[in-house]
Amino acid sequence: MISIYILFITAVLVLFLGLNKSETKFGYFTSLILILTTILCVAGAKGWMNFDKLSTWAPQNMMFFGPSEYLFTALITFIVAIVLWIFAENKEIGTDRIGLILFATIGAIMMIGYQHMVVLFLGLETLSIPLFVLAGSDRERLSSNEAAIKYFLMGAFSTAIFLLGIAFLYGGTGTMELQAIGLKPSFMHALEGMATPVMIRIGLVLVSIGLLFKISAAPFHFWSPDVYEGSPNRIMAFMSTVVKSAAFVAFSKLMLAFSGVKSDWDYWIVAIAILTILWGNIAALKQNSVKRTLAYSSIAHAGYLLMYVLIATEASDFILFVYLLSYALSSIALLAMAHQLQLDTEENLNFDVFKGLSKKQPAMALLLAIFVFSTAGIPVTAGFAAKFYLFSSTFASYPLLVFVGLLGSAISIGYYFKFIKSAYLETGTSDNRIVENRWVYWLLAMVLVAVGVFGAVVLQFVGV
Amino acid sequence: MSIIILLPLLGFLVSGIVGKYLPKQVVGLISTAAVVLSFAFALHMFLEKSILGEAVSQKWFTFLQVGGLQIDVAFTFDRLSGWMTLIITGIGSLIHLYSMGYMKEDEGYYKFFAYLNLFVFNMLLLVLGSNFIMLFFGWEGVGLCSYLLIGFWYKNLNYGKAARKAFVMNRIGDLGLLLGLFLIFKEFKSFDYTIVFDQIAAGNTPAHVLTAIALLLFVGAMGKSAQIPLYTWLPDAMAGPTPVSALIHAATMVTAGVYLVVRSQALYFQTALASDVIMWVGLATSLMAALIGLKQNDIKKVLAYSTVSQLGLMFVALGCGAYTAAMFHLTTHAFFKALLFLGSGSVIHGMHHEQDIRKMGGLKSKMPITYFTFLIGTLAITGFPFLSGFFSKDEILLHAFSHSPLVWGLSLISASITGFYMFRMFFVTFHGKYRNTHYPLEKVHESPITMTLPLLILAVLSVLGGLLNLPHYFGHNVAGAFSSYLAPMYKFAEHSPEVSASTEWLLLAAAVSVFIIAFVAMRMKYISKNSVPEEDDSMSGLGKVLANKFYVDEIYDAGVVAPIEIAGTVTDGLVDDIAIKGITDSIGKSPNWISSLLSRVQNGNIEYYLIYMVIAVSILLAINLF
Repeated sequence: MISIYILFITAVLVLFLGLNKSETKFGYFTSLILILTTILCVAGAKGWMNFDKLSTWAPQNMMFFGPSEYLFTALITFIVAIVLWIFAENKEIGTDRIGLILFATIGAIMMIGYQHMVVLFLGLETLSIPLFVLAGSDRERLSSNEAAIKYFLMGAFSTAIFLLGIAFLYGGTGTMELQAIGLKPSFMHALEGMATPVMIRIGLVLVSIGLLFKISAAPFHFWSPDVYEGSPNRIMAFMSTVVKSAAFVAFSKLMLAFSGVKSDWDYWIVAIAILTILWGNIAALKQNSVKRTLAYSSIAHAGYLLMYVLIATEASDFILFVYLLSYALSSIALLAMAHQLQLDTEENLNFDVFKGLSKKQPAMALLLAIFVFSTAGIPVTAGFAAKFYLFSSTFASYPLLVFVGLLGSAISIGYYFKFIKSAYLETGTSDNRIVENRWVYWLLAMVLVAVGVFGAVVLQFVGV
Repeated sequence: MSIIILLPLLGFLVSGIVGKYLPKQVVGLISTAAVVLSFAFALHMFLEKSILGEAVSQKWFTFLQVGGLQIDVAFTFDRLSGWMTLIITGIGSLIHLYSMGYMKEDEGYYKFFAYLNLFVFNMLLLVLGSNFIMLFFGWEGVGLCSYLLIGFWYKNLNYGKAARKAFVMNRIGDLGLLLGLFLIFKEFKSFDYTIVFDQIAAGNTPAHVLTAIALLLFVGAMGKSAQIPLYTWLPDAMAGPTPVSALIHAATMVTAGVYLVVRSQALYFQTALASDVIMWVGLATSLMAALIGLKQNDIKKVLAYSTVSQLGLMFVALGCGAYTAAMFHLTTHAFFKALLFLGSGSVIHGMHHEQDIRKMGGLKSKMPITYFTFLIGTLAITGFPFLSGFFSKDEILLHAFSHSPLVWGLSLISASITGFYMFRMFFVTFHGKYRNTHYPLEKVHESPITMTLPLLILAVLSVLGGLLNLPHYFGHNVAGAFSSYLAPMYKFAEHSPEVSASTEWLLLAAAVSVFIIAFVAMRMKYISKNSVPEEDDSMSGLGKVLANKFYVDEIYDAGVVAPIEIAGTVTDGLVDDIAIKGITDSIGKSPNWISSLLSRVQNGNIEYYLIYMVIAVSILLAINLF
């Protein structure tokens, strides 16, 4: 709750103060505010500070922030802070983009703290509508405009389905509150040996589709490679991490409410997860563009994360947390490094930008390798620890899914190592730029390795 | 306690990261200070706690928790690990100090000190860790440091090969150790020393399992502590700078195996078979290495084989169940062998990197301090009465005798050969005529104070080290201090040797007489007759076999390395190139092919995307409706 206040005030301030000014400074300023928010949220999560007074205007059945919600909020604000800081260099006039990013972040936080389907819907829209605009914020570029239109059209489509799903659920259960919504099917039907009413099952499918669209699970993922490629790099970094994180937290919370009737929905989630893992990984093999490769990689990761939705319990938050942390940090770092290495234009970001990196900027090449290892899930990085926890917890109930996950991970090496191949094996012809803000990359790499090596310490902190 | 462990790590980080940009003296001072301070803290802790019998345990954090497996980064400073810590940091300090002089001219100065500090850190992990996993971390860490330091002058191809040999040999041992650890976890569901040893002591474990664990752990000890058949790396490891040989390959790392066995006393006490294996392996190693040592002409090689031989004696003691005697000999050996190595380093330094004793001679006048301290070291190791080696070796012999007179006889032979090769080396190096034609005698010089000071300190320790554990005939007030110090560390009380007083005096007399024989014989040969060890090509018969180290390296090459290489070539050509490559390549190509198909689906037209979505939604609804 505190984070929503802070971000809202900051967004308004930045919007008005930044009129007709260059964006760069405001980017750094907002980043610092976000870091502060992260610290406050961590303090809230660990119980070092108490913000309950601030939450009184919203009843607990609408929105609630407990330790785990605070922790995920901290994750979101930290990600946004990193995105804003790494991409802060921007000659554009006007700070409307930063304002929009902050509003979208507020939407993401609402999705994390929701206790009521309406708040979930509001959060989803607050997150999406600024993104439609942001995707097209590079007005001069045709592909950016195309991305915005595509995202908007398909987003509208999915929103409609989502809303219909909420209506069905309300019809089936008579409530919109998360606490109560799962009780009726779980107890009144499942325990008494009755089948779950069709209305609830349909509602669940439709609501899931709305969220599956946001996390770009196959076959609802078609928008994401096109939109990611067309959007400005910064917005892609935001979409592929913040949107996905928030949607996963919301999705797993929702499905957790329905865990009493898991047999009604787990089989099609498994099917979608398998399809997503295979599709994302295989389609990524043939891509030459860094952004499209990362887009498919993020689809594949969504597939792995769907495992979490199946196994979520009250006490398993840490798996999701560690996974989202490692995934978000490494994919932001990869994209940002490609972005900074490329000269002038944002078009055609392909693997050539990394050529000869190991000769010219060996330290950055090493960091690149760490980020690639983490995304691919190779040991001593956070990516491995996250995948290990996720897969090993899933194995007992869904061995087939874990097998597909391992197969997908094996295939993924094929495209992740394109980064390393260009950086280390190919000699550079193009003169790539010097990477700026190097310490941020060092910080990210250190976090990833630390989580990878001392996973247990992180778990203790997260509170398992 | 954290500070004892962290200081060397800090030293490593500082000298490793910024050492390049600092002047040499500063780097040397920082790293030396790190170890000296660590020693000071360890000493303080030792006096405060260990003497009184208190053990200090500390858990930093849980490193890993998966299923029933919990691995803590935790440390225990008890009487045993505390003692080892004192040896490591104490000798480590002296050797750091010495290195400041010895490595002065070297360009890799900062790197050297970084590695040394890292070694001390890992060694402390090994001994202070309170579970087998921490021991394993340290075990691998010191192996790595040993590899880096043996190959420190990596531009010389042979040195690089020696480093690789040490690493591979150790890996073989490590495999045994690892298997032992797996078995421990399977049996006891924990790696924690307390839990594992309590369960072993409770006696509910099947005997064959205990024996298997004990033997596997001993395979690890064989690698690290250079026992037959894995000892050949240690003499080659002399390729590293001499302080490294002194610290790692004489005083500390190679004794890790002894520490492991003493730590697992509860285990070895109950497995007679494993103990016998240890004893006989130790005995064979001791004899064989001593014999080889007789015909070596490289000053460091002689010391290396001597180290192997002494380690063998320690294992004899362990096999006989004389754990304290082994620890005692470990301690005195650390003193006098470090002294001898540093002394040989001083000689090498003074002779400008000449290591062949045939090209030395008469150095006594030119290097008085080195001569004097080397003499003490030689006397201590050969068992001159009332020096440290005399007491520790006699204690082992006494235990061996009470175990079986045959073992005693063989150990005594091994101990007497020590006298032969040590005095041979000593007389040839320091007495007689100067024989080097390339490097004039005038240029030979005594080493600087940073190098001679550690020599003097170690000489004092070598003389007085025996006081730690005086035999009982010195009276019960002063005798056996070390035994009663270590006694609480054992789950099972040690046997004390049961021999009558007269037998004991006889044994003592035997030990002293072999010392005298060795001394006199070598003095006659190399001083009175002034003979010099023969050149390599004029050797024949047994001498040639000894000089060529029983051809063990050649046997290993022909018996192990060559078959593996042949098998490698066959599998590479037949299995890998044809069968596996064919299969994997086609598996690898199929996703690429599917990938092109999928790209065609993703054609950029939003109408198609929406149709796909509608189809998917319809299917999902259909499943749930019907």
